[in-house]
Amino acid sequence: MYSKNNSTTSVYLNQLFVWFGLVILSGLSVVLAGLDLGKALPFIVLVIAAVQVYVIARAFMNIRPSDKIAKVFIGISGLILAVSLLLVVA
Amino acid sequence: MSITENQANNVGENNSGISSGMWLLLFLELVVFGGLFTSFFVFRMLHPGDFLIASKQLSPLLGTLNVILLLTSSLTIVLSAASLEGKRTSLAVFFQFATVLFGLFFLINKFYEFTANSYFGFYPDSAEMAKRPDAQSVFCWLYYMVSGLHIFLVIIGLVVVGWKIVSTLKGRIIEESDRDAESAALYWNSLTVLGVIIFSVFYLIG
Repeated sequence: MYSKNNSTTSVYLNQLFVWFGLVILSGLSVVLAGLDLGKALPFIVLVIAAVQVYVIARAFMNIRPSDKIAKVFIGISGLILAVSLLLVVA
Repeated sequence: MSITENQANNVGENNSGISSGMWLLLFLELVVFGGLFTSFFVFRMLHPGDFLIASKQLSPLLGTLNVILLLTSSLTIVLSAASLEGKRTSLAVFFQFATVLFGLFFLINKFYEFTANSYFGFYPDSAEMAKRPDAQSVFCWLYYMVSGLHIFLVIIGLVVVGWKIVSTLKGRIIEESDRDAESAALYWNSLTVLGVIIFSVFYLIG
């Protein structure tokens, strides 16, 4: 029982750390948006957003890249991200 | 075996346990929003100056608050699913209530934001937008279309989580219910993903 409670608590703590990391990444995006980064800004902000999405998918949604269905989602999302990145640097 | 290991080992089963209807819904979300965001970037490439000016109408502060509310609601829905797996019913219900609360705060914040925007005439087909270049109207239309659809999905999510609270309170902590919790968490987290992208694209990149 003690071990089960202990493990559950560690799950909670892990998720809390993930949440904190995601909030920090959002804050980083806001800070960077306030700086004069010129044409690099949209690219950097999109990359940070992509990292956030990946972390949410892995840690919160329990999606494994090796799953067949996940591969479809990753493929389409990757394509949309690639097109978006091309359009912001164009 | 610890709960963490158990969860990790069950991920494949959980994913396969999630109904194909849920995956279809997520796929539709991906296609619809993917199309809208791609349209945004095409118009932005053609009219970067106008998009930048139009994006200044949006408050990064309120946008940041929205993202933090959604991220926190994602944390609570995940903790709720973990609590259900650990058979901690009361804690699971507490986290489900917290999710609904953060979701409602998100809607209130959005309502406040839209009201503030309308005060400055920043809404589709307003007299103010009619005076501006067409590209700024396109930004405005895309923003309200994407945000409106997102809000609609959040309202559905609140109903789903509310239904989960009722079923948990009724004590239906059975395997099927655990899978329902996993599906509800998956759906809610997809809304957070959308929130993060909307914030980055419309508020920060503009």
